[in-house]
Amino acid sequence: MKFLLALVLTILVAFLVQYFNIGSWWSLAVVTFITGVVMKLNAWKSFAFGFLAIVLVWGGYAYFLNDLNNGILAAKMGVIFKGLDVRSLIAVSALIGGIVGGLGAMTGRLAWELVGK
Amino acid sequence: MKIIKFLIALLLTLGSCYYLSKPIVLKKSTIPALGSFLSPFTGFWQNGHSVAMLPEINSTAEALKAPAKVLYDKKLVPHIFAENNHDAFFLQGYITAKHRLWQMDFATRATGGRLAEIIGPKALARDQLQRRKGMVFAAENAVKGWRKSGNYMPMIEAYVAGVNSYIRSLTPKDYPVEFKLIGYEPEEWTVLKTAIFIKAMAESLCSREHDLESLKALNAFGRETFDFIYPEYFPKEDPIIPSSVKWEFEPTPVTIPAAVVPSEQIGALPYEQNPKPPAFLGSNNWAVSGAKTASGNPILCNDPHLRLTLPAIWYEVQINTPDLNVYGVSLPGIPGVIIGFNEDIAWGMTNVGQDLLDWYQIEWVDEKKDKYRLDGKAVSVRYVFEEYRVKGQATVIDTVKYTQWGPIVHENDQRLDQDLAMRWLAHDVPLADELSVFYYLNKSKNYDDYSEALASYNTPPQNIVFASKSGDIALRLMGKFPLKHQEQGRFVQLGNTSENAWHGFIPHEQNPKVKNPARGFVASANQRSTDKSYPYYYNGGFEDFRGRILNRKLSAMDSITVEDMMALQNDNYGLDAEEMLPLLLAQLEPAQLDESGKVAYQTLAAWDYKYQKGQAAPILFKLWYDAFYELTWDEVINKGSRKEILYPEDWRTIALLRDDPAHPLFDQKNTPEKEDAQAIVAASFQQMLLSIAAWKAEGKSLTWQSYKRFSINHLARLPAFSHQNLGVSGHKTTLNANNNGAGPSWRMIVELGPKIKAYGVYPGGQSGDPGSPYFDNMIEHWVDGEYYPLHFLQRAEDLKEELLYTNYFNK
Repeated sequence: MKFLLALVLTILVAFLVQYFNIGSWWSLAVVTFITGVVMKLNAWKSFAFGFLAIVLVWGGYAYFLNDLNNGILAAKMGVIFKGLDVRSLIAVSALIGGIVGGLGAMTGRLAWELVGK
Repeated sequence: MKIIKFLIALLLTLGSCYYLSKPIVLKKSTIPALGSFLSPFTGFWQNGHSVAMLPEINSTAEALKAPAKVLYDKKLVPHIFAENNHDAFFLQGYITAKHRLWQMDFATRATGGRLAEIIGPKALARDQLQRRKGMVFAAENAVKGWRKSGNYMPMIEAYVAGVNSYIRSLTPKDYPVEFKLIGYEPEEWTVLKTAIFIKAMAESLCSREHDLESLKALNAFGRETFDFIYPEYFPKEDPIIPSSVKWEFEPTPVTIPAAVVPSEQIGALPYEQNPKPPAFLGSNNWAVSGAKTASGNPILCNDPHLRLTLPAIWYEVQINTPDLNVYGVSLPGIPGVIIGFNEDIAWGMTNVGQDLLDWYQIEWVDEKKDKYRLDGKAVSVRYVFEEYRVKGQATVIDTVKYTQWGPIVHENDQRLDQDLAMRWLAHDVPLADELSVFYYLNKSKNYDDYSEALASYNTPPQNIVFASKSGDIALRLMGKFPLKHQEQGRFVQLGNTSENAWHGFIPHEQNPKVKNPARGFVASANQRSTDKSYPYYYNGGFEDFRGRILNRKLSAMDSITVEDMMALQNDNYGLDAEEMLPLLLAQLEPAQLDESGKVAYQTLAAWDYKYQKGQAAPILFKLWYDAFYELTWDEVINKGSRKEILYPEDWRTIALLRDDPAHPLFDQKNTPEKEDAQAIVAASFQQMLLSIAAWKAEGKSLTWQSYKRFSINHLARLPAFSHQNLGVSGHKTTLNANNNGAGPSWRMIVELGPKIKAYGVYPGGQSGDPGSPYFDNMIEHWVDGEYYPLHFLQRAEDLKEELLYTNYFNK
């Protein structure tokens, strides 16, 4: 239950922060760091919700934008990225965001453990 | 333990953020920083704009004097409706930037020598050449000229402000995708950049010359043979201005100054030519009078042949204000319509081949090379420091020396008398109102307006064809032309006496022109402007085949319709083949050929001289002719590449075979036998058969289109954004002049009846955004030779069901 809450909260905050362009692309790591601190899940679970949240935010938003664009640009970008198809391109984007997000949440949790108790 | 875990996690997080924020440099390319590039909030996903359009959008621009609107039609052509010219040009700048910002930035960087800033050291040599050629110097002088009067300056400034207003509205996530890919940011647009764009056109249209190669050929062969191989006048030439036109003016006398040293005595120079714009960057334009058309209305046609790129060079636009209402194509970066029409007139352009770039050999006073001799005096050079910021490397400083002739471009460190200064008309400070030409053309109502509009223009010179609703057709040369003595500028000249300078300029009213000729049409296809009766000497690169076929076809036509004109713009008939192939075939003995030879012979003999994409004959002819050319001119080719020595023209090659088949030039110098034309024809035919066999062995289809492999490439040469191997017909000698990625960059046909009917197409799309459906949507139509009706609106309401969306602008 707490995991789900952490996931939903991170998705919401990360989306808003990134949608309104607060900070750079890596502001997502700051967001997951903070939810990592706040949610008090263990390090691996923190990584998991941070990862999953950003995979969903980045993957979902990329999917949405690509859909509006009928996939015109992504098909061409795929050619530049050595023949990736559009789905793989979305997956790669989501994965890269996800890893950074997961690491951020994990770091947040570990920081809390260091100073919190 | 806890602290170690934490530190590891922190390091991984910061490390991934850091490394994903850095571009990855590979051997040949650079991958953009993946974090921001792949983020759907900042990266390329943001550039995949929605294909669905809202019917209305609202924008604000404080610089506007009144509310205005831009209606986009279904091709994404903007129709600007503004209450004054300032607002119209402001909006033209704004929306051109909206669709073409990266192209504008990249093109001006490429011309001004600033590519190394964004792509690193590999672009440095190219940048240095651009600066040495004085491209920015030329643009700065242009701005100096424009600022002198100020009549038109406010329009340019409004346009520049519009571009900048759009740029300022962007945040990094909105930058065109190429900025993200290459990894840099747009910068402010300036009047100077507009001038640089014009100089880019001058570079591609009026910087061709053959001084060095001609000098080398002259030295290699001596005067007599040189004149035989490279005659300046083509006897069959059918000039732009028909011979019926008489020159009713008192020409300024120009005589060869006593101080001129004959070119033979200068000696060959050790330089390769600078990279030159391709020779076939030409164009067609013509107008037929009402007497020759089915409707009785004049029809005007134009198809400028330029290097074809994506984004395309042209941007279609209509501008409607109380002062003017004009439709046509514009150049991204330049206010107004360049080729187009209004309610009363239409106009079009082709390039003029006159040589406006000459080289002068500098005589230095001593090894310091900071003073040169001119008229017996030692004159100091002016140093210009050029600074190159190079991505990933330290800034490079370089100096360019300017003489009274122009910048020193070629240098030989071993000698004091072989450095070359470049005298280029496009470097000169122009008349104040140069750019107003387009504005006055845009609002011309009749022949007098048109002829007045052209007076203040400098370079690149153009043949401006004209037709009016009132029934006039005309064609005149627009531009400034130097007064030259016989053969001046055909070879390198000595720069130690000002007697070798141009003798002034041809007065504008003495530029060649024709109005309403008896033959009922005016036409140009980059051939010579006039016959030899024109009282001034000029040289240059001129086209020999398109001009003649165009005049021949137009003379034969009657009751002309718009459809006939479309067919003529797409005509693939090659006069080169008509003149050359029968001569080649006549020298061959078909009975002595083997089976594959007989098949090739039959294919060629049956050919209708049309370079159609699905045919085999054009390849056979091309390969045969090329081999014949190389074997015939072995004397020339053995002495160097086209960059080093002048190669004879095709018409000369044809004339040699026709008139002089026993000429010793046909003899191969490196064989013991004594060859004549017949032997060379037979040998080249065999070479062609071998090439064809190799072609087939590779499994390639024997069609003209698979030989041409015609492509329209993205400006940054990204294959993903390019269209490659398009199935197009035509050749550089045909009216449909497609060759090596250059061709008809805008086909336009305007019938000037009571209601204007206009048609057009260009190979590209209005949007420069590779993620837009309007990036390349017109290419297919263009390939198929089809046209779009152009929606020339009197009122905004007239667009009706062709309306895509409206952009309202408020203060």
